[in-house]
Amino acid sequence: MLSYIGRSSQFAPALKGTAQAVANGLRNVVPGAVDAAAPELVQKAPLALTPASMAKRCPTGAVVAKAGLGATSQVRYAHTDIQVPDFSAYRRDDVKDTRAKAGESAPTRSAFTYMLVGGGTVTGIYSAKAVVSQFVSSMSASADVLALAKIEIKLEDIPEGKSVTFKWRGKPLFVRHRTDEEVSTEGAVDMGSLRDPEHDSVRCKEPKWLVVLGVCTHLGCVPIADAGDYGGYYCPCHGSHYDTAGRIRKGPAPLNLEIPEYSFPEDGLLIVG
Amino acid sequence: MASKLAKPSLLKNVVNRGYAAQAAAQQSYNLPTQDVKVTTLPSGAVVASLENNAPVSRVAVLFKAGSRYETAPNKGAAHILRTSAGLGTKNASAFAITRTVQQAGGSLTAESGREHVMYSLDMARNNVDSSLEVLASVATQPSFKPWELADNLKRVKIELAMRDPSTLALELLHGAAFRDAGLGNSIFVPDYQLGKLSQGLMTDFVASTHLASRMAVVGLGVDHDGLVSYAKSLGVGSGDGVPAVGSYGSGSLRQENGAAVTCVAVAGAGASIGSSDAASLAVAQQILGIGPNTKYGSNASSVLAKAVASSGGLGSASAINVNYSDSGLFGYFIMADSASVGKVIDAVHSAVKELKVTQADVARGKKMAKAAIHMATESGAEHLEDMGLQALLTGTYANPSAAAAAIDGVTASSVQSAVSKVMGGKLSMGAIGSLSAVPYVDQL
Repeated sequence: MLSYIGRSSQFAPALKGTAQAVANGLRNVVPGAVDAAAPELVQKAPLALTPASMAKRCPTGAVVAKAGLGATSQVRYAHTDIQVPDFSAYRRDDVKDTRAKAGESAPTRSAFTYMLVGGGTVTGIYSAKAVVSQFVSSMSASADVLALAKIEIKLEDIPEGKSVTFKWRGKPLFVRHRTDEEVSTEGAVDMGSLRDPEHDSVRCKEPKWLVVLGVCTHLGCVPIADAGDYGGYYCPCHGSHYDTAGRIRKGPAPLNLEIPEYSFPEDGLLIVG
Repeated sequence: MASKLAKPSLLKNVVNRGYAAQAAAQQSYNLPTQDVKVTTLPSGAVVASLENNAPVSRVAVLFKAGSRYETAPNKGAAHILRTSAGLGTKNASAFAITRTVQQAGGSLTAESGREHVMYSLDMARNNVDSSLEVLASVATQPSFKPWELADNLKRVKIELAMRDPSTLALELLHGAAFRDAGLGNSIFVPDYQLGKLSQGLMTDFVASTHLASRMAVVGLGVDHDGLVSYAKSLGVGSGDGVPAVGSYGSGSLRQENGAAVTCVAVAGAGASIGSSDAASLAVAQQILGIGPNTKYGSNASSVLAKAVASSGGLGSASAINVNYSDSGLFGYFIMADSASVGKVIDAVHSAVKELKVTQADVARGKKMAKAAIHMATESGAEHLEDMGLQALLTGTYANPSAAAAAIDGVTASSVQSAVSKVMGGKLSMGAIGSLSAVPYVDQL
C-alpha cells in the first residue's frame, strides 16, 4: 500500500474515493452541494420496441430542427402544485368513508335535509308575514289619533235633565242625563207611529243616559238641545224634531240620531268610541 | 393598433353573403406550368422563385448561419437564433409580429441545420405582400432583448428534453466524425451554454453570418421580379463573414444510459453536394434501404432489412447519406433492442462492407432515388426548403428532372467503388443506449 501511494504521488486522491460515515470534531463533514434545478417535465416519447416502430425512427439524412409560432414543441403546463383543499370539516360523517355506499345513507341524509329546509321555510314564512304585517299596520292610524278616537266623560258633572255637548271625532256628541219621566214617556211610545221604529231600551243601555251623535240625519246640521215639540232636540235647518231618545218624530229627517259605541266601565264613567 | 390587417371592412359580411348566394359558375382554368427562375444579385445574394399556382404562397430567407459557423464562445447560437425567431425585432414587438402573422392567416417558422438557417413565411396568396415586411424584420433585424432571451430559455430547455435517442445518436455521430468544430457542432445548444448566450453574443453571431453574400431568398407562388426587389430591399450587410471550417476526422462518441433500446450510427466520409460520388451514394443508400415504404411493411428488398432479419435480433436499420457543401457522411443507422444490438450491428456492418451490387440492384436503386427526388417536391414546404438549400449552397437550382438525369448516369461499378471507398476509409460512430455489447469503431 505504501508503494502504491508512493508511486501515485499527487494523484492519490484521484485514484481512490473516500466517504466519511460519522463526523467528529477533527474531521467535519463537508457541506453538500446545492440542489440542482428540477429537470423540465416533458412527456416521454413512446418506446420503440418493435421493428416497425424502430424503422419509423431510423433517420436517413441530415437533422434539421424547426421552431416557430405555432410550429414547434407544444408546451402544456400541468399544474401539479395546486392543492385541492380538504373539506372534511364540512362533510357529513356518513360520506367520509370512501368505501361506504352512498345509497345506504341517502334516505337519512335526505330526510335530515328536507326537515331542516321545511322547518326553516315555515319559520321563514311566519317571520316574513309578521314583518310585513308590522310594516303594513304602521300605515294605519297612529296612537295619538287612536287616543283621540275615544272620549271619557265623568257623568257626575251632568245634572239631570241636562244635555251636554262634547266634541268627539270631529262631531258633536250629546250626552243627556234623562229624568225618570222622560224615560217612561219614551218607553210608552207606539212603534207604529215612528218613522224609524226603535224601542227606547234598544237605544239606551242605561235608561238614564242618552248618548247620541249630534248630527241631524237629514242634511247634517247640529240639532239644538231641549228644543222642539217632543222635549228632545230640534234641528233649525229644516225643522226636524227629535225626542229625548233621539228618535225622529217630525220633520224631513229619515232616521233616528246615530248612537255611537259606548260603554260604562265604572259607575260615573262613560267611554264613547 | 397592432395590425393594420385586423380591421374588417363594414361590408365584409354583406359581401360574403352576397357571393355565397350566387350560384357557382362553371369555370375551368388552364394555367401554364412555369419553371424556376434564379437571379443572382450583385451583392452575392441568390433569389429563386417558382410560380406553382398554389393558393398558399411561401417565401423564405436563408442565411449561411447554421451550427457549423459557431465558434467556441457562441456554441449553440444557432439554436437560440432559431428559437428566438418571432421575438421582438428592431421595428416590431413580439406581440405585433404574432398578431400580424396570425391575423393574415400565415405561419412563421425558423428552421436551422448545420449549414443554414431558414426563416419561412407561409401565407394565403392575397396577404403575402402585407406580411413580407414582418419576415424581413424577423430575418434581418432581431433585437435579442435580454428579458426575452431569458424567458426563451424555458422553451429551449423543453426542446432539449424532448429530443429522442435517434436525434441524439446522429448528433453524436457528427460530433465524432467532424470533431469539435464546424460540422461537428450540434444543432442544439450544449447545457453549459444555457444562459451564457447574451444579447451581445447573439447580435455578433447575426452580424457575422446574416450578410448578403451568404443569403438566399426563395419563394413559391410569388412573382419573381417582386421577390428580387424584396431581396434588394433587405438591409443586410456586406462582407464574407465567418468561414466554414472543419473536415472529416474520425472518432466515436458513446453515451451510456442503460436504455431498453440502443441507437448506433456508423458512417464514413461521404460525398459533398455536387461531387461525382453524390449520385452513386444516393443510389447506394436506396439499395441498402431507408425503411419500409408501407406501414408494417417488411421492406424485403432492402439489403439492411435482410441483414437484420437474418441476424436474429430485434431491430431496424437504415442507410444514412448526408451531403454538406464541402463534405458528407455515408453509413448506416441501427435502432435495436439492447439485448440483441450486438448481433444486429455485426450483421449490418458485414452487409454494408461486403455489399455486392448487381445490375438489378442498381436499376431498382436508381428508380427509387429518382422517385424520392420527385416526391420531395410534392410538399410545398419541402420544395421550398430544397430550393432554398440549393440556392444557398450551390448558387443555382436544379429541378427534379435535372437531378433525376444526374441519377441516370450511375452504374453498378460506380456504386460499388463509392461504397468501398467509404467503408474502406476511417469510420466514425455515435451510439446511445446500453452499449456493453456495442463494439468500438476499430472492432467493427
